[in-house]
Amino acid sequence: MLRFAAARARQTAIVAIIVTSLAFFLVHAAPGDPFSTIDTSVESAAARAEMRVRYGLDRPLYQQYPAMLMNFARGEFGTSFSQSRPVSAVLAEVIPDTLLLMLPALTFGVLLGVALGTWQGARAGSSADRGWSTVTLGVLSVPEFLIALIAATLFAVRLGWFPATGMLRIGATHSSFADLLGDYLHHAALPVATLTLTIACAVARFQRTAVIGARSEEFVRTARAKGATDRRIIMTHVLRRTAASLCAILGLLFPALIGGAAIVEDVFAWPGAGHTLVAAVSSRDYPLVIALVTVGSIAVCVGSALADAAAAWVSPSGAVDA
Amino acid sequence: MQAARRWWMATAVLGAMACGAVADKTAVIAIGADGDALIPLLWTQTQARTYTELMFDKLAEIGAGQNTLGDAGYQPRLASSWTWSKDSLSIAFHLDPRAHWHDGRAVTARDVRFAFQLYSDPKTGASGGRDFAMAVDSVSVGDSLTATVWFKRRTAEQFHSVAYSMIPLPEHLLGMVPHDSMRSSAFATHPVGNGPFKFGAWEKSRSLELVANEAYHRGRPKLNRVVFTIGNAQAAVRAVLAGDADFYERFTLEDMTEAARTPDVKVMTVPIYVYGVLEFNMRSLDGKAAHPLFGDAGVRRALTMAVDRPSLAKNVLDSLARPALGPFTRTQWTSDTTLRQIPFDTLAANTLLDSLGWKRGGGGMRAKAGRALAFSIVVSSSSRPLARYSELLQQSFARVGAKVTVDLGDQKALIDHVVPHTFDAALLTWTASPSPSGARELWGSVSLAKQGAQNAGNWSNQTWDTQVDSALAALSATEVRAHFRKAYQAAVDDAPAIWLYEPLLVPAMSTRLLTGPIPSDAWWQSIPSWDVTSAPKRPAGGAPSSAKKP
Repeated sequence: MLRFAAARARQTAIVAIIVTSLAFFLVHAAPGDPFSTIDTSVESAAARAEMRVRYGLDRPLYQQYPAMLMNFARGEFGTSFSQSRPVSAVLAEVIPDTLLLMLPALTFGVLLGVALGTWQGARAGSSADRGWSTVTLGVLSVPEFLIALIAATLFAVRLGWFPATGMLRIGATHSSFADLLGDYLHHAALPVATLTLTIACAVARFQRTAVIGARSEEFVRTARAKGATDRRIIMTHVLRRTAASLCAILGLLFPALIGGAAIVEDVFAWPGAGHTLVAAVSSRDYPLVIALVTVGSIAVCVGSALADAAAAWVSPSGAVDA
Repeated sequence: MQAARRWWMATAVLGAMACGAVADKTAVIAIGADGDALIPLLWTQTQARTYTELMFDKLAEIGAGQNTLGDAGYQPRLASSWTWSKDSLSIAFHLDPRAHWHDGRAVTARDVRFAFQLYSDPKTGASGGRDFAMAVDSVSVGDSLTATVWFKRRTAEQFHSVAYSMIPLPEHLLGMVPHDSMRSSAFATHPVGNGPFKFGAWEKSRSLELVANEAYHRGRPKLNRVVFTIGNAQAAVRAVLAGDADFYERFTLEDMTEAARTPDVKVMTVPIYVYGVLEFNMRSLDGKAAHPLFGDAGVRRALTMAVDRPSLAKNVLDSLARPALGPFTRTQWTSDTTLRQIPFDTLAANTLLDSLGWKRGGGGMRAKAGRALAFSIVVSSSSRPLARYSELLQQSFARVGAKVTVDLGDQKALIDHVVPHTFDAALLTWTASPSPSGARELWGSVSLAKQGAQNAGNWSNQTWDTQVDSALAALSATEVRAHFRKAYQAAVDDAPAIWLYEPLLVPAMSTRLLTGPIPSDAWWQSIPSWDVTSAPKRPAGGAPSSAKKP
């Protein structure tokens, strides 16, 4: 296990360096200057020049790049141009908010997806199975931002059941933790439901296929021959068999989940990392963009490693492939 | 007697309910982006200007007539009155003795002088500071409540240039801060102002909270709190429609349709100081020679004739825009709606291009001496109307044999083209102000020596320059108008741009919000007089504080 962890840590470090480097050169290659404005008075030009010196942008890229890598290695992400404060402070604020969106969505999405996929797999070929397959395929074929927009328009704007934006009531003072939690749940309902829906549909399709495959295997026939009920076979044998492939699929889904969360955050103005990344890109906030992309890539690597470890743990062979 | 008592009780209960309903006098205002520095002279974004102008008072506020000539219509703010010298080369501003900074210190004449020192010092980096220093010689302090501004010369707008553009700052808090460090000072994130609202809290890129200044010398604002919620434009629209926010200043045509279906939301239209143009670049991309197409006024006029501006404005913005008439807006007091316009006439455009030697070839496109009548238009994708305009212009120009490619990028990419003048034609919106003087920099030769977006198209016209200079030196409204009329006509005739449209601002708000008229120059100016009539759909509740997280 230690060897597995060490190998994955090495992989993560390599991926982080590659992604950070790509992000660095891509943001610098994008047209537009972080401090450019349409106001081009002499004073503004001087202020812009001073800002470029302050943030080291006056130096050539071949000097900026190694300096940035060294700083990142020390955990120093620099200062956000657009927010005039350390990038680490921005990250400390936005990452928990993203987790407050992603973790519930991941949990509900996986539970719902596994339940639906298993239920479909046990009734493969039935009209109910075909109906749900059409539904899940339909949902997955619709872009996430469109689902988010439809949800916001229908449930927030038209019906007024939920807020359309934000994570908490603006400027609110919460009288108790229950009040705070209720406020969060009210605001999180739509974005979490949007993400949950897409995760659940993706997981359901994988799970359905895995269950159908497992049900045709010998151990199921043996269990059935021994008189086990269908319910027991599914709950005891089939689910255990499909758990490993499910974990692997979750590892693959993780990058898409992060991308989807960014889109959903932007639509619902959820103040997380994705929403911040979109704003940082449009304002050419180089340090913040690079830091968020790097953190995102590390999260994907770690998530993937955890999924692989979980797959190995639940796999009957128990083998861990670094 | 019993009936009277019942009436009294019913009234009391209703009154209590009403009081309870509006106890939370908080207005939540959605905005599309965050501001930068909270010091008046350093803002570069409108959002920061919005925040600061609610916390800092000017010496006097422009009146409803938006007149910038002399001091007619100006309303007292920090200055309760002012006295002109006999030669009009100085104005003594008499500060209101009731005016105090939010930390309790009195506003004094030294604060006015201190602001002048900051504005006129290039190290501060105040936008427009150099022009300000060119107009104002000095500020002297008579007594603690009298600041005299000395001008270098008499101009029609000398009062406006100080009263509207120079905001006094607290010397006792900023006096020790080096002028080149103002932007990074603690004051820039936690300002102490003197206006109707005090700084509350600022969660960068999330929200900014202002609280009513109970001791405001002109009377406490009606709202207890104003909270700006910061997101993107689409989220801001949905926030108002869903009742999360009370106000957003910029609904689009499509948003208005949705607002019409929402009973709790009302919209209004406000004429503003913005106009959209297709600006031609007179110089080649390397800047060394005249532009092969737009260096010729005939080509510019022919292309202008190819565009049906009223139809395009109707097509893109329906009733939310009027065709522009020149380098000004109708809201400016020097505007002139009687100028002789270049008419929409495709036949005349074709004839003119023929006469200039641009002959139609294969595919109907024109060419002259081996050079195609082809150019690109740069446009920002963040402006849906302008992106739509680019498509329609492409079609209009194709009808007269000009091939146009559209270069769509984000706002930063557009600035990358406009500031170094590396474009053929650019779809731009310019924001003017009540003062017509800004047109001098925006379209005049005076900007050509400077590197920047002012006069983006490198247009140079002697009539324009001399008439605008004469207008700005004139002292009577009649003279100013007459000179500007000649300048505007020169611009229309020479066609450095196609004057496309003047948009209307479409603020949308909750029906519980009472705003009164929205000023054309700055929608936020009337916030101190805003009120709410009922509890918000989603009450914020409680005293001002930052939101906590679970």
